[in-house]
Amino acid sequence: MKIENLSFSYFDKTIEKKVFDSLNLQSDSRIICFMGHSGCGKTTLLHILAGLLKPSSGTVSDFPEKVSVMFQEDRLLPWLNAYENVALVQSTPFERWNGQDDRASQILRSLDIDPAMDIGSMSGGMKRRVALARALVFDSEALLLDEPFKGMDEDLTVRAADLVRRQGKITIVSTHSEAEARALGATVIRLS
Amino acid sequence: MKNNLEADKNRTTRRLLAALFWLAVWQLASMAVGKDLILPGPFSVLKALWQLVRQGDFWLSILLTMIRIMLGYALGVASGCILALACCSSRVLDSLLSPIVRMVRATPVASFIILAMLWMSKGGVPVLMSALMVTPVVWGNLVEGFASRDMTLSEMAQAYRLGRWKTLRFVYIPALMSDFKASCLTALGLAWKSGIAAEVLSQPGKAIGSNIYYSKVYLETPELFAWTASVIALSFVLETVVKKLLVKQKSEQGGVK
Repeated sequence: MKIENLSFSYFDKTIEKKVFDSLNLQSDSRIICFMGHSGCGKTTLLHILAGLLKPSSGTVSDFPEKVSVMFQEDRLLPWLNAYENVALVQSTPFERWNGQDDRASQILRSLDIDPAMDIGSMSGGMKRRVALARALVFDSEALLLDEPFKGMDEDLTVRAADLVRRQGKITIVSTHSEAEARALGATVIRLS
Repeated sequence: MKNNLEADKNRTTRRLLAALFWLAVWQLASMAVGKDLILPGPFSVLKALWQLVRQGDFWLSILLTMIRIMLGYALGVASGCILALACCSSRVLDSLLSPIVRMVRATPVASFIILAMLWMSKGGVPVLMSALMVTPVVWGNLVEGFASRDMTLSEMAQAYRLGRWKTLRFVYIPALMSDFKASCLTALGLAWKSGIAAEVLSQPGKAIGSNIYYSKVYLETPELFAWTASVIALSFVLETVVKKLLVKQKSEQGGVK
C-alpha cells in the first residue's frame, strides 16, 4: 500500500475541516492497524481506500480495487436473518436460509452465531460478528475493517482475529486497542 | 388473557353506546325537521334499505361498482409503483414525470370526470377516476420514502457491489414497505369516493353512483341515504380486507418487508 500526498477535507456548513494534509504512507505489511485518537481520520482513510470517498488530492497505489468493507456501524438489513445478511454479498445466487451448510453459515457458526437468528434479537457484539462474517465471505482481495471487534470479549476477539488472519488477504484495521492489533499480528500505524 | 378479553368487551360496549347516541341524535334531528324528503330518520332509511336488498339489481349494482373501483384501485397502485420506480431511478425521468403526477394530484376530480366522459365509455370513467386518485398517493409516499431512505445501507450495497436488482429487492423494497402499505390504505378511501362520484356524474347503467343520482332526481331521500349507507358499509368491509391482507403479508414474511 502506498499513499502519496493525500489530502482530504469535509465541509461543516461552510467551514472547511481538513482531515489529511499531504499524508504520505507506505507499507509492505499484509496486516496493518491504524491507531489514533477519535476523529484523527481512521474511518475516513478506510473509506478512501474503499473508494467510497474521493480525496481532494493525492494518490493511493499498490492497493487492490475489490475490497470488503466492515463499517463502523453494523449496517445490517433488519428484515433478513444473520445467514441471509451474510449470504447476500456472496457471488453465488442468493438463497433464503434453509439450513444450508455453506461458507456463510460456517463462518457464522465459527463466530458463535446461529445463522437463523433475527438481527432484531441480537446484542451489539453479535451484530458486529455478523457484519464481520459478511466482510469475510465477500469475494475480495483486501479487508477494510473499522473497529471489527467492538463489543466482543477477549476470547471471541482472539478467535475472530485468528479467522481474519487465516483469510490471507491484505487487511487494514482501524482500532483503539493494542490487544486487538497484537491478536491480528498487525503492523501498527499511528495517525495523529 | 382475561384482561384482554375484558378490554375488548369494554371497547365494544363503548362503540355500541357511541353508535346508539348518534342514531338517537339523527332520529331527534329528523323529528325536528319533520320531513323525510329533507332529512329521513334512521327507521325510514332502514326500511328503504330493506326494500333495496330484496332486489337483484341492488346486488348487481354493488358488484359492478366494486369491480370498477377495485380495477381502478389496482391500476392506480401499479402505476404509482411504476412511476415511483422511474422517478427514483433517473433524475431525467423524475423531472419529466413529477410535474405531471403533481398536476393530477392537484386537479379536482370533477374536472377529470367531465373530461373523461367526453373521451371514453361510461363504464370506464369510474375506473379511470379511481386510478387517477390512487396513483399520486402511492407515488408520493414511495418517492418520499425513497428520499428519506437510510443512506448508510445504500453505501453498504454499493461497497458490496450488490448490483441494481439485489439492492432494489433486498435493500430498498423492504425499507419502503411501510410507506407502501400506508399509501394503499389511504388510497383505498380515495378510490372509493372518486369512483362513486364518477358513477354519479357518468351514470354507467347498473352502479351505486347511478342509483344515488336517480334517488336525488326522483326525490327519494330515504333511498339516497340507504345507498350512501351501503357505500359506507362496503368501504369499511374493503378497508378491513385490505388491512388483513397487508398484515398477513407482514406476518408471512416475518417482519417489516
